Amino acid sequence: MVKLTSSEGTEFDVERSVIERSLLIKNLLDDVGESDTCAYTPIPLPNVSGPILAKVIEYCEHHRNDPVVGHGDADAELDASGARVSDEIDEWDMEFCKVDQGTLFEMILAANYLDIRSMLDLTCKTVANMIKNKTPEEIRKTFNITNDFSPEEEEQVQRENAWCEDR
Amino acid sequence: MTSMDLDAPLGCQLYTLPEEALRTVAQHASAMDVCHLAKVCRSLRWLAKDDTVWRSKYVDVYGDVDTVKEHLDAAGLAPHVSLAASSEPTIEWWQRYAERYQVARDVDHDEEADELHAQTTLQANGECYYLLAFICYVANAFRPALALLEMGRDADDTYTPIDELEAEVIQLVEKAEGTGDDVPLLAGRHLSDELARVLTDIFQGFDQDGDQHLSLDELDAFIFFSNGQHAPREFLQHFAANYGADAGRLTLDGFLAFFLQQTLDDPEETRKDLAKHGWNGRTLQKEPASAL
Repeated sequence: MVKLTSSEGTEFDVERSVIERSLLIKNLLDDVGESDTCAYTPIPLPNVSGPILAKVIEYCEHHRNDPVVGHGDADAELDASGARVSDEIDEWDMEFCKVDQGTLFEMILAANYLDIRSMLDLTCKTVANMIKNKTPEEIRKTFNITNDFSPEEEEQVQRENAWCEDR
Repeated sequence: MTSMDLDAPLGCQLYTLPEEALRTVAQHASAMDVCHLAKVCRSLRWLAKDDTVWRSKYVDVYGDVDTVKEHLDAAGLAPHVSLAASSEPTIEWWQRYAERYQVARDVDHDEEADELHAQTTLQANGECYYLLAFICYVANAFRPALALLEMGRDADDTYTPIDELEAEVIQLVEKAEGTGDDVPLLAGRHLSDELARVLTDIFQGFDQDGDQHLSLDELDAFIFFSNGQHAPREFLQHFAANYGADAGRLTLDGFLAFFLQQTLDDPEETRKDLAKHGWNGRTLQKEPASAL
């Protein structure tokens, strides 16, 4: 077992083989050496809050038997056309990502920080699906973002990205 | 920015996500979605021109032209095979993507667009990779051929000739490079140092007068020793002229050139020849004299 401490100081016990989906933690444990010694020394994760760490552990436990994905995307090879599919998310993963935006972003930050590639892919795919086929204005609404371009910049940025618009 | 009325804690917004995370979002979004994202606000604008994002999009849709070029280069074929689709290497990835995208979009009907995609895109069918790999194979560049076949399978794993060609190439590579403890005969498209050394030794053994050439008589002696038959004069002259001769006498380079060709065609034949001349065909060591 490995002990992790969230930003508020909450301790989590988790099986080493489960949490080793996080390359950050795996490398840390590998550097320290035998697991016996680290069982008593909690690993502090000051960047990850308790509720988010609980989500991370839930994810790692559900996917404990999946092959570890390195760089890139597990789905990339499955798609015969060579293009990546962004909407093929299985049911459990879909449910797992049904959280408010703030939580979703924190999950992305945690997956990025802890270096769990498949979880980063999943959460970012979820965001990609949220912007799918939306206009810039609709994206702003969805994510509550203010348009901070000056009129000159606005014109410039329109021109730069004109190539991908339908005729 | 008005941030107090948002449900996310301060500093945790779409546009404050780390670059790596935003790139991952972009990777899973369509090209148009990425452009729209870049138009949302200042801190997302960079996505429209990010090299990593657009390179990966380009490779996903149009194939990894640069890597294909590297393999052709390694095969010594770069000057002979030109990839019509490749753009100027100096322009940025988003521009390369935009160029290809617009060409496809300007075609009126979907059917035509699909056809154009199939004609101009490596990634659209395994056959492109197969043909390039086959050319490498014919040019005896086995490693590049295998690499291209692998890329072809990633692009289209239903095109079975890829598997057939791969099996053929692997078999040849295994024979040439040897299996297990066998000393390799080839290094890339050249003779391995070990084989070149052994062949030089054999050459010198038949160079009775030590003039660094095999006269036709000396060459005939070598062929008789190898095959148990004398060769017609005309054949010897041709042989020398073909592989490298100086005043009608076979040079060491010519001798090695013959063995390179034979080894590329059939490595086993070379290993057998070595055995006839008192060398172990697998270890490339001289057999004890008693074994001769």
